[in-house]
Amino acid sequence: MAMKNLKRGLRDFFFGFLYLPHIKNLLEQYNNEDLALMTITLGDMLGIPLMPPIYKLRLLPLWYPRIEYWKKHVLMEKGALEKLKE
Amino acid sequence: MTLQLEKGMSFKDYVETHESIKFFFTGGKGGVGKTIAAAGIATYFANQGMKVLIASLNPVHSLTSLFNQDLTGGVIKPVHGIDNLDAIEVDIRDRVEAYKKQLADRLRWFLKWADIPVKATEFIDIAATNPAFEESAMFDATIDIMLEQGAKYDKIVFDCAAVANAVRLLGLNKIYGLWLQRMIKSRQEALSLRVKLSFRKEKAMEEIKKDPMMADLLNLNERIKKASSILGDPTKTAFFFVTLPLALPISVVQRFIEMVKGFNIAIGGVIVNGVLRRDVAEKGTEYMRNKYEEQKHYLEIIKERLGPLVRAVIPLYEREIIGVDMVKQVADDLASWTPEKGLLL
Repeated sequence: MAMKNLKRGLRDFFFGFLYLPHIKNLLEQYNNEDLALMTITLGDMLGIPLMPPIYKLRLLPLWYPRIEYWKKHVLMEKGALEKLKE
Repeated sequence: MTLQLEKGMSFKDYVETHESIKFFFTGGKGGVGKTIAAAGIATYFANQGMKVLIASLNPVHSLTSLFNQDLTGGVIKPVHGIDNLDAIEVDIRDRVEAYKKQLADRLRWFLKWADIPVKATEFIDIAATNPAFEESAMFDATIDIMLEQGAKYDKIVFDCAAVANAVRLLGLNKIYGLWLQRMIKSRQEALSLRVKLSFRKEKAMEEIKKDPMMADLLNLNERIKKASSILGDPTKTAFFFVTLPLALPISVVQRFIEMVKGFNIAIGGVIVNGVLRRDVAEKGTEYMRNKYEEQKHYLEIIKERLGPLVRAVIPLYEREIIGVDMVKQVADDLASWTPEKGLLL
């Protein structure tokens, strides 16, 4: 039993140690790419003079729940701590 | 029977009573002779001693072929053989490239400003590729000519592309205006949200005062407003429709007139092109006489549906209209027609 717990503990430790930063990094990257894509597609909502592309309407339902988050995220002033994190 | 028009006004009378009109557009179905009509109008004014510019807005230009001299290159060139007449075949390729670059720069700036750390190249390539650029570049070029060359010339004649393009071109004025209004509002909202979301309010306020995107938008809006005030002013702008005595071009003109009304563009009138003369038909073969009879039917339709709007009838010449001499002939025929002469020549 103790051996089993130790094994799991070690596995979790190494997983966290080796992969977690990676996964976090990938998720952040995914988020950023998503925000950038939303910016070039929905940018006219923020007054960027993009001519609305024809596929915008098809992407709208997909992004609708994220629009508020996107707006806040791209317009928010980033603090020094957040900058350091990056 | 000459299909005389009881009501109506000739081209000459029209332009003499509407002296202040500076910008002329010609439109109609493909192949009806828009370029020929535009060249005829331009040459008529040049013959009167006015300084005239003819501008081709067609993506595929025909002025070089029509005047039979090199007018390519997207710059204003004098037309040899006709005094006071300059011509330009508007080239939008550079303009589209400039658009793409400007938009890409703005987006790059925005993504940096919003602290979104991504390699933006692909994103920007996607965003800066839009089929509407060509259209809006042509519209932009038209406004440029109106605003910049308007002061240098007495008359400017625009040779538009076929109907759909021309309507889009003129309609863009309205659509662009509405879009810009929305854009400016969005930008204001975005900027005020930016201030709300920042913890150094003064800095944010300073920043939004200098917002380059807003400056761009206001600049564009100013141009659109100026263009609208010219395009929508019947004392400055008139649109001439060109038709052949055939079923399809006639119905296109009818529909076109309805569409143009929706865009507040003044209608100068209709020019009927390619009318077979009686003396030519009578001398000709049976085929020619049949064509003449067929044409009569369509001219009756023109009289009935567009009668009071007809300003000129240009005959079908024995030779193709190529070269300065033929264009001068068109200008003479354009100016010498009167409603009393009727549609049948």
